[in-house]
Amino acid sequence: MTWLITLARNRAVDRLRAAGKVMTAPLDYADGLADPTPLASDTAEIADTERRLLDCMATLEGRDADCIKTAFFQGSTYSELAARSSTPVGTMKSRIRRALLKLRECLQ
Amino acid sequence: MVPEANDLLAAELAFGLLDPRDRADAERRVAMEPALAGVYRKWQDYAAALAAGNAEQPPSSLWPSIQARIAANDTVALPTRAALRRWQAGTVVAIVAALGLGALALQRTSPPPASKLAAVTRNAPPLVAVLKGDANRAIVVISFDRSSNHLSTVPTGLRIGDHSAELWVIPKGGKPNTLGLVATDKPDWKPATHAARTLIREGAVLAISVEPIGGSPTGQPTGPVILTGAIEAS
Repeated sequence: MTWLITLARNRAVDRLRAAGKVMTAPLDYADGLADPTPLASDTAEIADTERRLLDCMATLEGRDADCIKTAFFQGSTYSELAARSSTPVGTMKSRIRRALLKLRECLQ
Repeated sequence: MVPEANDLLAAELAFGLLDPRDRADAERRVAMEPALAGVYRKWQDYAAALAAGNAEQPPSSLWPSIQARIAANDTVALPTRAALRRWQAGTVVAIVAALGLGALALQRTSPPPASKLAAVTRNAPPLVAVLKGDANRAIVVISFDRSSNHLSTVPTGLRIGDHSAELWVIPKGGKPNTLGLVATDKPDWKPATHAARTLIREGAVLAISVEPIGGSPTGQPTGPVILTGAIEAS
């Protein structure tokens, strides 16, 4: 399943990029409005890895988790995330890296 | 490189955070460093879990942008009544043209009328003569295929020693006309000469004479006629 999702995601992003379609709209932060915890019915069905990831994502600062999801789902890289949120690339990188390390710690 | 940095790079790669050049570098390293590859697989699982866990809500801007595109399609693509009529008229014209062409094609491929067919087949059967009369009981079968204009000769038991066998066609009440030499030891199939095409008819006679090597020097038989046969339609 993992390889399929990864493949599909990467191919989709690559195609959009090849067609010159790069997301440039300002980042749409959920800002805590949407409940990051999945519905109970979903929770029962998703596997251990997924539950752990979602739990740990929920421990991150809302904006950081959103940036990581945006990168994965919308194909925005560091520099594009920075542009979309009007943040210097360096600032964006160090923020996300801090979040990733926190995520790693939580997942271990 | 410390494990933490490996984890970080693998996570960045798995979530798609790296810019193209960094991504290419990271992918190269994953291909070459088994330890990094293992960590990367783990982070791929997490990233995929993000999708499988349905954690992502579509951005709130997505639906309005889809709506905008649908609306744009409507105004641009909706044809006016006049345009619609033109298309409908065009369709009718196209259908009529297609039917006409179809009928034409059918006519062209249908078999020719029976009278034409009969004329062709009347011409088709070959003319045949079986030439006999030799003391050695030799037989030469000669056929003239009028549709392909070819003359075939099939000799059996024809032995004339150090001579040539020459074939003649003798029209009713006429003089012999040469049709050339005939192979004595093997079947032959060759295009018919002008004389053959015009003189080989039902009722005419074919004959073979024994001539000096190379054929008759006079244009008329000079040696004995050893075989004759009447021409018949097969």
